[in-house]
Amino acid sequence: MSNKLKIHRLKIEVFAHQIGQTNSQKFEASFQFEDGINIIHANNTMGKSTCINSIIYVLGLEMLLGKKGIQGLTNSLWGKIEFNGVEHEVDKSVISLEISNSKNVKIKIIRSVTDPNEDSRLVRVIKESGEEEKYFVHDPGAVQSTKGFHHFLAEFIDWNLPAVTTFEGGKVPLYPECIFPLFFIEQKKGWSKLQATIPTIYKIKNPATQAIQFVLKLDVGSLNLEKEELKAQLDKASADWSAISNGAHAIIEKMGGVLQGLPEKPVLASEKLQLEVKFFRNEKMIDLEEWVHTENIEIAALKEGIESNTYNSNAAEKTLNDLEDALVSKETSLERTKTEFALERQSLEFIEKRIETIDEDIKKNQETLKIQKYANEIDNSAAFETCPSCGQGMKNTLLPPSVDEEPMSIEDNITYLKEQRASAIILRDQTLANSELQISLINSIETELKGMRQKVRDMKMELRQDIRIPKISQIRELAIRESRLQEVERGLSDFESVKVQIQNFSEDYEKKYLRYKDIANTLISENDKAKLTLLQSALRSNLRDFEFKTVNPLEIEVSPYTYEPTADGIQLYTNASASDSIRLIAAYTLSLLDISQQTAGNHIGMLIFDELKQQDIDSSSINGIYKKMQSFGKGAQFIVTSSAAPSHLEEMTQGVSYNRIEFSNKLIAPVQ
Amino acid sequence: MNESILPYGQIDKISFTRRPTSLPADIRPFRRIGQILLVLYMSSSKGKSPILKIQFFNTLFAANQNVERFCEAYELDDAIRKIQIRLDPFVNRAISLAIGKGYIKSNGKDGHIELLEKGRKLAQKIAEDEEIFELEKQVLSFTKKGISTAKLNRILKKA
Repeated sequence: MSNKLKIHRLKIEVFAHQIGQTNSQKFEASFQFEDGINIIHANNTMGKSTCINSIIYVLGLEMLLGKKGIQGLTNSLWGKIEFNGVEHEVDKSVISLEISNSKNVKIKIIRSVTDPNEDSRLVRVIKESGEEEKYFVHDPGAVQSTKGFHHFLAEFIDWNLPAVTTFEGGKVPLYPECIFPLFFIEQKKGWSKLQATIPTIYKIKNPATQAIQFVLKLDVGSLNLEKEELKAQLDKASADWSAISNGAHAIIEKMGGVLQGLPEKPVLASEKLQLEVKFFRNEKMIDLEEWVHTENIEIAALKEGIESNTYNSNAAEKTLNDLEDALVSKETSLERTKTEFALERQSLEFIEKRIETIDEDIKKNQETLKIQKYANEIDNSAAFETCPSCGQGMKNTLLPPSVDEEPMSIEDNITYLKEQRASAIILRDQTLANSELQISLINSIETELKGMRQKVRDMKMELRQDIRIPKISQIRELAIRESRLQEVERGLSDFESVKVQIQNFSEDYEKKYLRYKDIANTLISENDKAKLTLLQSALRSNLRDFEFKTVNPLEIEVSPYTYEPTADGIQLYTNASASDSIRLIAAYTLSLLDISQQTAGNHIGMLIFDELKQQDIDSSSINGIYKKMQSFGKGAQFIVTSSAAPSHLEEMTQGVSYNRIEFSNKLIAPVQ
Repeated sequence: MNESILPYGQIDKISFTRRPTSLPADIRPFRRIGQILLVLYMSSSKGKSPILKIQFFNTLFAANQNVERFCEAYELDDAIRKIQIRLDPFVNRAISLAIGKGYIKSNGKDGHIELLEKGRKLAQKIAEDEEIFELEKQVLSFTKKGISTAKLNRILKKA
């Protein structure tokens, strides 16, 4: 398969004048790159890194050099250039790079380093047809906007950059600056650890892991996206649910009833809701059916009484007395219920405050645990189990030793607080449910009281009336009760439709919820597992060929979470020697290229190693690295710089064919 | 008689296990040390500060209403006046432990403490972790390095 990105030619042009003179002179360096291995060979300070850094710069990736803008480049491109001992001041310098993609489309990218007439953030792209387009880098929109150069570059490479989460919770594309550290190993920081030059200013969560995921086209990336999408939908469903649930409660409360069995959080369809509607009668809660039944009987009796019109003033007086007694006792019970309600509210407040305090303490404990962890990373110092000065036992507390307490460990303390929180939550929910019931009860008593008072007034009037007139108290009561019964019937039919709504909602919710759980529980897909296994075995065999010494390469594993090479679950860099760190980075980046190509991943098919032989690393190890590169044939491109002595270089490249770019003098030299 | 209720006769021994107690996070050494290092790191030039200033910030951090009162004041001087410094023995103990661990050193002459390399590393990690000490960082970025020893002394003496 052909490479996603290939470099053909790099040209650096510098215009400078001798100090004290006005006429400008042109300096130039030009490099021709082939498929396969390219080695730029020159002594130190001749400008090899300038060449590599220029490639990085022209692609708008100078953040990999640690600095944004021209400061990342050598002084000779923007300050002073020296040749044969004569210093020149730079007036203008321009870098151009010819690249092609997997469809063999060739373009030329031009970017000035310093130019009084052109903004260095401008990148010009010239197509084979001669057509020119202008793009910009290092603007917030460089990736998102169609005028951004990185947007263009991603399309050119045929990359579909995933949206990733930032620490602030926002979404940004995975910026190319986060991916290229896997391809371009720069000299200053690049060899210290894998992906050392990933910028942090984008605040992307786990950019290193995301980059490897992208290069290997792992499913976990798209699964994570789906998971986040589902999470957002589930969160929204919770909000929708409270709307539905509030509606249901409102319908039942409007008819004076209480709805039970509808939880605050969305339920799954399989959890089979048991919804019950209850009514208060004489301050007792009864089932809806019983209430309707009793109402019907009593309404029938009322009707009969009105029709027969048998009014007995003595009996009426007795009824009135009874009613007045009942009124007083009902008022008392209203007061009592209100007091109980106030108490319940008070304890609710108390419990909520308690939960808040626990939450705060949990957070503080977690912070402390983190600080302890950081301290441990710095100097292996764990919690204060012993006094740092005298070595006596301590109990990880600031309490003086005279206080005879045996405190929990912070971890246990957090668990303990979480348990406390859980029971406080249960208590709160119970108290909340109770206080809601009390509100319904208060409402029902108040309605009853209103009816009773009306009846007392009516009956008092009736005692002074002609006994043949139909009795207003009975008629009013009949009217009120009949209309209430009708209201309840109407409400219940509304409620039926809400029930259907709830059912549909739960079914939909269950689907999403199960899929979410499924993804959350899937640690790693079969596809990903296969790719990572391939990566691991490629890495092991590379490390063996490159004579890695820190641990036996067979003990090295690729972490299924961060994809970093680990031994015994520990990152390898922490204890690898400097030369082994180079072997490891070369082995890992080459394995990644290998596996990405085998599995049609997103690797650009190119690696740049600036100053491969930096440390005292055996020639045979380097030879192993070159041989590995050679095994890709023309299927990949490698650009390596080396300042090894010529004989040494020969030793290192024994049996390896490569394009040698040789400089005996400064790379950037005057044009005659 | 008791034996019918509690079968003491059948019991060889009774042992009591002491259960560890829960402690507020505020008296864990690393929490206070972390706060001290953060104050030195964010609010002191050259990572050097008198203990009084540490106590001042400790009083601020100790209660939310202190922070609110402090941040509401428009002028830094007024803000400082609103705080009654409490000299907290736990802070002194945390300072001793931090010295023991080599995070800071005490400058015997003028009662200053000073951040050492190890402490600076830890402080930096704490400063970079957005989840730790949100409130404290809010206060410290409000004051920046504006609370000098001289200022603190002057205002406190006036008060």
